[in-house]
Amino acid sequence: MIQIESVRIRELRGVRDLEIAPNRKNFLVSGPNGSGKSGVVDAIQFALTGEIARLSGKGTGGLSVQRHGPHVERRDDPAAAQVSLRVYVPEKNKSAVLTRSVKTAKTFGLEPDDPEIRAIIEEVAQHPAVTLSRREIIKYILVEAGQRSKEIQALLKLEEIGETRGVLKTVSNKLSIASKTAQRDVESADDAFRRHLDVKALSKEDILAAVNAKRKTLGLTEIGDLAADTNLSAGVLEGTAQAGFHKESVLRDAEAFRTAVAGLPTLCKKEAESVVRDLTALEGDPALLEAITRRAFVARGLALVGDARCPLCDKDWEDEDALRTHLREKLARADRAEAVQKRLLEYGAAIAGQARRVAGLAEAVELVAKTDGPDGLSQDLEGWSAALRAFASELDSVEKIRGHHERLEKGWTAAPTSLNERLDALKTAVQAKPDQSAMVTAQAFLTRAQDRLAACQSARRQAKRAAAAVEAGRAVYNTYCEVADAYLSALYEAVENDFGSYYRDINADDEGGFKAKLAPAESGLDLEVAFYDKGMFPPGAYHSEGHQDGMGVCLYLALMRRLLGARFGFAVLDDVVMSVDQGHRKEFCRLLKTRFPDTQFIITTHDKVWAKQMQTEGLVEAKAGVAFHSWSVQTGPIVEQAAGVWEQIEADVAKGEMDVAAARLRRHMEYIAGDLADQLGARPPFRGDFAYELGDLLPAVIGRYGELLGRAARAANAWSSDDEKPKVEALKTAWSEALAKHGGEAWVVNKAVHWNAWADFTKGEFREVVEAFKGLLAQLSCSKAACESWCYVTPRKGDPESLRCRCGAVNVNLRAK
Amino acid sequence: MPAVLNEILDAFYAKLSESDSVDEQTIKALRTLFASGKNLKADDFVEILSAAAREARP
Repeated sequence: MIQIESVRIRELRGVRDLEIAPNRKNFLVSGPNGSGKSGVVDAIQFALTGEIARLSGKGTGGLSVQRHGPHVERRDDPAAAQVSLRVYVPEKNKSAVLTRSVKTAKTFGLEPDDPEIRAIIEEVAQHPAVTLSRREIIKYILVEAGQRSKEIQALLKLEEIGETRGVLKTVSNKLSIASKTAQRDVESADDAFRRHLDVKALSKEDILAAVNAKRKTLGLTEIGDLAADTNLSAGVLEGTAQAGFHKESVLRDAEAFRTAVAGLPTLCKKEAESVVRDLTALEGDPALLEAITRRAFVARGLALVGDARCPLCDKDWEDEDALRTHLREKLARADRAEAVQKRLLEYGAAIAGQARRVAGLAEAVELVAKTDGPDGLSQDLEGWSAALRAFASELDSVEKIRGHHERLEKGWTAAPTSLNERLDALKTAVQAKPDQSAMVTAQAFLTRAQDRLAACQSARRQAKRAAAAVEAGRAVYNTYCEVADAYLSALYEAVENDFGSYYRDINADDEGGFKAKLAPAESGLDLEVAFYDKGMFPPGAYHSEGHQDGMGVCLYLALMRRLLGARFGFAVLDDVVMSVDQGHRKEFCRLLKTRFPDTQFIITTHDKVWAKQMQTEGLVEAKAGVAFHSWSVQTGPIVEQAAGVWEQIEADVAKGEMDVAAARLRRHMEYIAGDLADQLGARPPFRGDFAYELGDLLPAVIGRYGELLGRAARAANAWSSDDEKPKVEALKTAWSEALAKHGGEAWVVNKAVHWNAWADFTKGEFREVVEAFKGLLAQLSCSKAACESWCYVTPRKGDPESLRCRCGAVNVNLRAK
Repeated sequence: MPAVLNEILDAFYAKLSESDSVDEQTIKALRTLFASGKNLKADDFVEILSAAAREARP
């Protein structure tokens, strides 16, 4: 994975020229709505992938990177729209500058062009989900199971797993159909052999009895056993059997054929009617028909997609993702049509088997019809059997079956005219032939018996192979399903565990028992979550919008961790927790800091309080951010001074802009005091409008901190703790000194209450106020640079037990015996 | 091919080798087909499995 050192954006979307430097650390992009924050997100996404999510996908028809990526003033100059990203690759300990312009969006320049870094960046491009906006998190939560399944599978790159499963299922079905056809061929061959021998069943005893009777007539040795290599006509001289003519056998063949012809009107009638019904339904639903007929074509096209141009028709799409989505939807329709397709192929195979059987019977009769049949019968039978075989061979695909819709509807068995009469004439002619000598009859019988035995053996071998292929196909399909299901189950279980754990981290105060269940279902991927102890429900059922936002981000983080593991080094979160309340946002900060310490987050927000929180919670360092205060077409985002607030105030004072400095100090202190009141459990006088001012908050914080130190001292004495006593004493002394040094509590409070007066101060007077606040705040936070957190009490609710900072450097007991 | 599918395929080959219905030669042919990067077509698999059946069950 990569981390971002700096970004230079020129003439892209709403940005004219902007450079930011996250320096591989978490980075904050803040500003009111419409100030250009999303332009930064777009730029990073574009640099990495060549795409911009908000210009593609649902509801963005007609938008494209090529036409709408450049700044509106440079819309005819896509080369000017350019992003340079300086990236760092932790595993290679190398940096490089990636540059991409809208004009050549599909490629990027790299300096230095290190093949290893290029490969890593190309891998990142396969994961556009590294940038996440609020509209995207909802797609994991508030969607139907099928859509969630698609979204999650797309993020985890799982589509190919399902596609492979579909192909292997088709393989298994095809092999099964081939095996059934082979089995029908065995039945036909057996039937012909049994008919020739004139036995009821093909038992070894009956076969040997029939054959040995003829061999005895010829003075040949009897055959004792029937083995795979047994030759029933062994000893019969070749060319002596009148081309295998055996009067009785021929008559039996003719009779069997005549019986078959009599049954033609009802042969596979139900199957044919079902096929006709399905074909009619298909032809009435062009989308379904197209889905079936073009499935292989579309699947092939999907595999060939490499950019936004369709490899099947050369049409240019807005982007590659939109094209892929379109093709995948087509494949999904084909899957719905699978049942129809399966039925058509099964019944088609049944009809084909019968067609081949009838053709075989006709061919047996056609030989003798050449010499003994009425004029034209032999040619008619030859033509008909050939047509039946051709017809049978055409029933192995939906497309080819469609070509026989009319024949199947009107009667696929239509036989040559006057067939029964002509068969009767043939039989009469054969019967009228002089009886053959017993010797000739026996020779012909044995020759023909051997031919038909060989046909039976061949058909059996073929059927056995087909059955073995079916077994192999089933083993392949079942094994794949078993392995894939186990893998996916484990994957989903891991995701649901991580998801539940992250969500509990954020909502420990009211949903500490939260759990989630992510389960594959017929319709897709079901997600259910616990709602207190009332049961499991869909996430949109009872949870608030803020909780749903939290779920979306937690599920996203769980998925990314599962997808990338330790390589989850970077993500852009574009205003993703705007509905989450202040308290839970703090926990969200802690979640990102503690669970993803090696992931660089670039976070945008329009909410100043949230922006401050990220800094005070230590998620984002004080100077690691850029704030936009407004935007115009001509300038793009207008950046607030990037320095920390104290530096900004000092800069205001230095310029003599006391009113600006006073407003900035007041806003900052109001926020800090509110945060501290929350952390320490201070009790400012209640305000019905919740519009607490500094004069409400700061005295409450000062009073509360003093009270907590008093408690700590009493607890240390009560426990007679030699360790705690000096520690608490030191804190109390430092606190008293801070108050005294800066004029005492009353001074600060008075100045805070009458903050309007600050605007009339001289530079020196104002700096004194600033130093007073800084000194006071220093006592309320950890002095260690790596921590810098505010002191807070635990537990947050109820009687506090300890006063501490995040790193534990400040940690005093508040509970007496 | 995505890493996830590769992981599944590795487990698939290992499990398939325990099956009496599929021999090593067939597994090798399947590996080659999956590794080719070609679009997967049912007929390619049918050919492999039918050929294996022809050779193994005369």
